[in-house]
Amino acid sequence: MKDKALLALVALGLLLALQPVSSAHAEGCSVSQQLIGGCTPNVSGNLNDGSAVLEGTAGSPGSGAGGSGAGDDGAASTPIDPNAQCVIVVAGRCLYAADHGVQVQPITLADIAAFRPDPGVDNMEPNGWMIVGLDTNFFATDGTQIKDGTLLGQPASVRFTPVTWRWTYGDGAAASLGTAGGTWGSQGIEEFDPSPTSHVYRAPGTYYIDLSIDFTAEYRFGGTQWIDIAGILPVAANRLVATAGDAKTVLVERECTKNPGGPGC
Amino acid sequence: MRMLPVASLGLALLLLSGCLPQSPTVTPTPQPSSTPVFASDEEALAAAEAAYRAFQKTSDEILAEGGTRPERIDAFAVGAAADTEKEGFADFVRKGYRSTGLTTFDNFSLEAFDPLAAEGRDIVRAYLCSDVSGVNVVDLTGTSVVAPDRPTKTAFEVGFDLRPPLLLVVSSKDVWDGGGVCP
Repeated sequence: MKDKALLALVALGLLLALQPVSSAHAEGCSVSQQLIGGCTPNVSGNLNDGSAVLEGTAGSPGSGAGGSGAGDDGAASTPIDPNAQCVIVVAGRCLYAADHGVQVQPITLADIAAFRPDPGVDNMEPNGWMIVGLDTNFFATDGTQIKDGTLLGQPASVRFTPVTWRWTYGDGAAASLGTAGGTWGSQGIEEFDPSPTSHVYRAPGTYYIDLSIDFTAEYRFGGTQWIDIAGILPVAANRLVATAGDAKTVLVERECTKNPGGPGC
Repeated sequence: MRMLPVASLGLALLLLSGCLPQSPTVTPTPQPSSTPVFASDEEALAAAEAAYRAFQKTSDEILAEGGTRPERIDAFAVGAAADTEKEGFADFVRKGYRSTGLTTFDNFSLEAFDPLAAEGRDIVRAYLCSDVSGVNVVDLTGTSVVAPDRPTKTAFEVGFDLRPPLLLVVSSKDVWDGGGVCP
């Protein structure tokens, strides 16, 4: 067996055989290092010889002989890429230094001013009117949106996610809720039942109901991972105008033929 | 087999001394810990190549996934080799890097096969020529971070430990600058 091993050694070439195994080692090199910058023999011992080795190992192993004696016993040192700390540099600006796990000069909401989420739509049940003393159900239709555009001169995408729904009901009351709500039907409850987003008006009259939806934003360049943008972007939804009456007014004085959207119709 | 004469001698001495019953129970000779696991250099070489292929494939997979779940390499590497790879994986995680493509190798050749290597010492050492021409590394923006002067081919000298009963795992992997491996 030893003979075969020796034969294998010889087969590697005269050059190899001429050199003691122990003097040809360099330090270990991870696959990741090899992929990024290449694994190089130890260059810390002698810079000039090291350079020669680097050139030699690029594709012509025979020339490695010239550098094989250099600095084998020196300490392993990996050249530091001056740009290594900054992962994302756009327009000369270091956006993300992953070595520190932080955003250095982060993208702000001001940077993405050209990206706007579609405003949500405020809805109400019953549609356009309410009964004093009973719950009126408000709900928004919106959702996560991805907008493509240009950020710092680079093609980028911004993803908006609604997180808070702020209703002002026009009667002096307001609510900031963590849900967009839904129709009575979708929630499996009866009309005029309380819902997480319902409101009770106490007096007849005409009310203007406004909704503002807070969005969080993230951005990315290309198809890579999303990066958070600090802050909240409030976007106004449509204004609802509705009339509140007492039960007698709205239920008795309206007929289904004239008001097909009325309760019980 | 070389234990046999000693054992026979011992048995003969015991028999001569009259310390044994007339019909001694024959028990199998315990297998020495360094029992050769590969019958030939060819077998050792094939096992080492398969082990390295698995190591390379797993490393590529981890790097393609941004260095996550680095412990996957433990099935194929041990000691310094595993530590070095894990440092590389952590570096990918920190920097948000991701690789695409597969690393290949050829000229896998046996340097040494020591069937009686003590535990923790390389039982097989081999040379190979690693080729990264099909691999790119990108950052979070999708921009390649590969150095322009990255060598396409790199020669390595790789050591393998035996993980009983019959599995070889990569224990060391050093750049080989002695030439003759990458044509």
